[in-house]
Amino acid sequence: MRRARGSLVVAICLGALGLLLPALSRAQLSPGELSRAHAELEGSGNCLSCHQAQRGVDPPLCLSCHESLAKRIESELGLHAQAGYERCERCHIEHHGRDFDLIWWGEEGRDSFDHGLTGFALEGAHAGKQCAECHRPESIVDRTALEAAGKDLETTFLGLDRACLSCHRDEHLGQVAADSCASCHDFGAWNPASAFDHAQADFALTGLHQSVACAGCHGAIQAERDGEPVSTMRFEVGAFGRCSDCHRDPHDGRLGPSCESCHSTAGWSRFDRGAFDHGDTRFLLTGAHLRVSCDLCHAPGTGFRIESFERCVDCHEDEHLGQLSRAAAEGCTWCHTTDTFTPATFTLDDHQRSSYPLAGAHLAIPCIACHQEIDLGELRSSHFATLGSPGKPRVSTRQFRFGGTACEDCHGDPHLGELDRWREDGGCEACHELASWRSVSFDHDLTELPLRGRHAALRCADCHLDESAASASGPMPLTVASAECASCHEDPHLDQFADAGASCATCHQEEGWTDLLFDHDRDARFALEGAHLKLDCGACHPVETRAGQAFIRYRPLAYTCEACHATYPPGQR
Amino acid sequence: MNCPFKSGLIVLYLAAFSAVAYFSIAGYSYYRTPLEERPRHEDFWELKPGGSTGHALGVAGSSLMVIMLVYSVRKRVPRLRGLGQLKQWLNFHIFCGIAGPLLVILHSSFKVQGLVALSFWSMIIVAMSGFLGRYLYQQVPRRRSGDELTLTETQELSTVLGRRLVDEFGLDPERLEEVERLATSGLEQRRGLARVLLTLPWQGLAVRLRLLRFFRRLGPLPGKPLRELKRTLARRAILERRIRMWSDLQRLFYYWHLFHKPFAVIMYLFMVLHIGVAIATGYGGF
Repeated sequence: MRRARGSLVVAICLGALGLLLPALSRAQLSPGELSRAHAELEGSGNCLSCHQAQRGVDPPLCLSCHESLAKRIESELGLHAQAGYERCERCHIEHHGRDFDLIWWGEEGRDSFDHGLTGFALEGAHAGKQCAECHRPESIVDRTALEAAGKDLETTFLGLDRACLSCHRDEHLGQVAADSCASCHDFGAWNPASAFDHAQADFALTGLHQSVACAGCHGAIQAERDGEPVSTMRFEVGAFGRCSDCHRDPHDGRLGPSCESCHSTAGWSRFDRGAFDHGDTRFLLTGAHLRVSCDLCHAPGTGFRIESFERCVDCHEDEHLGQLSRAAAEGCTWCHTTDTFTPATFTLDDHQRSSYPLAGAHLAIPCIACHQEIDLGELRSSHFATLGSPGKPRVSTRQFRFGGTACEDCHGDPHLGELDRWREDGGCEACHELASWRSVSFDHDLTELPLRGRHAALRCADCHLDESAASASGPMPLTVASAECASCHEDPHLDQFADAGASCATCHQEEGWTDLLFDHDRDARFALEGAHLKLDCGACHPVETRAGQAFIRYRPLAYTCEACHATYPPGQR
Repeated sequence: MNCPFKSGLIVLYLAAFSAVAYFSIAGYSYYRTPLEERPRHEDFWELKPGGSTGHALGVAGSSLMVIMLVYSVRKRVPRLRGLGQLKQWLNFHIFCGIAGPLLVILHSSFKVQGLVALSFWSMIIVAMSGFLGRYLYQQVPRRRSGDELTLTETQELSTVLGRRLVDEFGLDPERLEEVERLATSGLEQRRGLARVLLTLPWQGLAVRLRLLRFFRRLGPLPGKPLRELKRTLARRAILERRIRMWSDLQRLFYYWHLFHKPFAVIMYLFMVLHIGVAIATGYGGF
């Protein structure tokens, strides 16, 4: 019974298995359907294509099919070569159906994948790109090999090269090495080439060169790409050793080829003034020119070029307003140097060679005694109506041109015309000398009163100076009305001889007042005789007073004895 | 059942149910996740069948499934008759048959695909049929050790109990016959085994209800306490019913074995195959 029962159980089991066989034939040992990528490995006989005892899903088995990936791992390239990515099944989870996505991009999805894990971090402009923008079939380097490996070029992430030009066009049209993009460009942006350091080039950029647009120096290359004309920047700029290779020489070569001896790249006008030798220009700086700032001549903002500078007046105002015609002809250096404007270098010798050589006292007076500051209007109205107009308003200037060289042109006529008759012949020099005004050499004999005696010893002023009209510096009028003694001398006799027909010279002479020519016997009506000869003059000619003025009584006197002796006591007579 | 064994069994049940409850709660999020999304779940590498925890659950569950076969061996090998009571081994067998499948279900993470599904569903069938078998097992009169009584032994036991009820409890023989009729009511006509199986629980319940009503009508009796009387009376009534159903119960139990064992064999067969494939594909160890 038991044996029959056991047989029955076995029979039922076999029957059940038999019933299940069709299902078993289709069933699989795997825990689930493989993904579409591995669909060809479906089936119980293929377990060990991926799995291995003791090791589970065995990466070498995976890589035996994924040869392209195996090569990259062997070359330590890409994500799969990174530590922590050794186990394929940790990311590529299988047995979850045909439509299950084998690639696990993490919680944040594919767009948040850290591409740096592949060894090629997406930086700058790369960071915002979608996968398909770079992982394109046309960017795959060796398409044939991947196609041979069964890869779908539209979906594979393999095959890209890190070389920039594997994805990007060569914008420089072969001017630079294909693997040197990163030496100039970074991932941020193509332009500007922020990684490029012009200092590493043969021509380091300094100063203003740094702010010049690249195209300012580098021209363009015209070429053709894919049948289309293209243009790109030319890196080889030819000669660049000298400034003039690129810049026009505003000095037209006059200052030599070494622009950098004065200028720097900080700016054309901001040259090194200390290093600049103005002597290299057509205008050698000397004297005070060496001490003035550049801006004084080269006004800021107007450039350094001065159109005309041969003459002083090209820059300087003519201090003399054109009075000095010789200066106009020979230049200011006739009198001045660049050291200083004053004092002038015009020497006495120069003056002696002028149209008015100095002599006498003129040699001793300072220049400004004659060349005085004079009102401009006065100067114009008096002598030079056509004087040049100054650049700036001026009211006066020093006088260098005069109306004439006669004494009175400067000194005027201190005699107020009284001596014109003498000047007509010899001018002022007829009496005066240049040595001194007061040194007068007038021949008084030419006058009505030749000087004799005491007159010869007198100073002119003793007779001619009108103290009331003259002053030390003012005009000196001569107030001689006539040659009569009385025109100068007072009459101490108070007109006692007015009716006597006698002049002063009858009794007096020029040798002295008291050196008389008077002879009492001859000239008087009362000859002296006898005791009269012994008498003192005052005994007969007493001193009297008239109108408060004392005088000696000479006439009229009584000629009779009684007139004098009547008063004498009887007996004396 | 002796006390140490019972206590040990309770501990095993508590441990097993606690473990199952713990892993069910801990893995609730993962088990609720659709299959296609599970690889992205944070517990995937632990709770997937091949994962660290999932694999351990599978090993534990399948180990219990293997250990439970000790009962079959004990039952079939006479020389092992002294190795514990068969009833205790059955209870251990039942424990393994409950805890093992539960652990295996967690191991599967409710993902049943491929050939191993045959093992899985066979396990489910075997486990569920175990509950039926346990019920049918109860219907067959046995000694305290769990050994089955023969029909004669059962009939003798019923006679002894009837005599005891009349002699010791002073029960009216007519009342005894009335109880016998109540217990065997409905068994007069011949029915198919399927109907017997389906109505067996209800019939048993109906008999117990009828006995309760009878006990209410039964007045106070002299001698033995009424409680002992009722228990003995109910025991004999059920024995009488099982004597009348003896043939049907034997046949049901026979066919249950025919159902239970093949699926168990299939389960073990594919379980071995599954384990073999797992080992071959690199999931043999921890």
